[in-house]
Amino acid sequence: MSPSAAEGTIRPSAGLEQYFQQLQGRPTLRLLDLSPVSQANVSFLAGLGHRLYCEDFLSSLDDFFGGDDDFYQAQENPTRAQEFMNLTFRQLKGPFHGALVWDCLQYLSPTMLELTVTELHRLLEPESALLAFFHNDERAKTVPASFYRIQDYRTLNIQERGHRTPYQFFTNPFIERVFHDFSSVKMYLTRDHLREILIKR
Amino acid sequence: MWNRRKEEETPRPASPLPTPVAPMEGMPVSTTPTGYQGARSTATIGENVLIAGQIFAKEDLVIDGQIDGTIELLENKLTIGKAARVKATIKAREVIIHGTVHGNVEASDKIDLRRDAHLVGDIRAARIAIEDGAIFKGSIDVTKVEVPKAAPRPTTSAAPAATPAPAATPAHPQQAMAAGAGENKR
Repeated sequence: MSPSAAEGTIRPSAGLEQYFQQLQGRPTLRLLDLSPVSQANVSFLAGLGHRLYCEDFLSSLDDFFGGDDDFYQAQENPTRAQEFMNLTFRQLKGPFHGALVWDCLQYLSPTMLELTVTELHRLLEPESALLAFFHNDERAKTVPASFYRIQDYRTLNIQERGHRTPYQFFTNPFIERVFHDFSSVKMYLTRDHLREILIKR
Repeated sequence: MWNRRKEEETPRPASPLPTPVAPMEGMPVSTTPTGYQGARSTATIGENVLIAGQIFAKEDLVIDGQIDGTIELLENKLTIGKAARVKATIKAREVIIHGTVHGNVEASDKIDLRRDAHLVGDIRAARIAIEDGAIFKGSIDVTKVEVPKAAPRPTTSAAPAATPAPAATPAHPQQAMAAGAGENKR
């Protein structure tokens, strides 16, 4: 790992490498990126000839439910949760061949998590790949939320965008349960308390 | 004395004060051309201007006002200023966005999203530049776009439409897309 304060941390990513291996040989894919739009991701993915759909999921979540103490409580309101789903996912022109979900799922209440995973399952084509990250430190009350910028097939630049309190800790069995509708779940451990999860639709 | 005072009280001819343009559909809206000296002039739509309709231009255009309709500058550069609020389908050679845009944007050359940009819509261009902080929701298609030559139109910088256009219509199908730009290079 090579940290550089202002420009983030650049490190290899086995999950990302496997993600691209899974998509290899399939030209002109439609990919969903749930991080804020970035030059790095657009340049890399468009450079491969893929079409990218950007949705800053975490910011949309904050805008809709507010970033205060009631954040998770507000997400548990089924009407509000469904309204958010309609605003965020229903207008997406799927299906997609891949999704880069990054660390977004950690900041969802159980109701929202279930709805979001269901929507992702609906939006993704069979055989498509989904990459998600979960922090590994069970005792941490807050975890760093980050921007994930793709440098190449196997390298990420990770820039912190503040600390957040996750709703719950994601154990491996729990992650498998969350993605039980998908065909496979692979997990990659890293040195920075981040588990990289590659899910095949 | 009497006469002099009377003279002073005589109202002077009104100076051309900038008057806000009423948001009336189909009304001509004047723009302020700038940069007369250069070969390429730039028109500006000011902050207090609201246009509902179609804009065609054969010169560069800066928008600081509110636009609802379509904008076409097929051979020129469009700059959306920080204060601008645009709800339109946009086609231009180059588009620089600082403000808020709702609608699809297509550029034959480049789309530039600056840090204050807020764009909701699909974008398509040969080159795309994105500054950190720009907010974007939509699809990105980096491909060579062949924009057809602009049909002969009046030389005015902003021609009002006879009938207002819908807010955000889909891209015209005659926009020929270059094939083969989307191959996986691996």
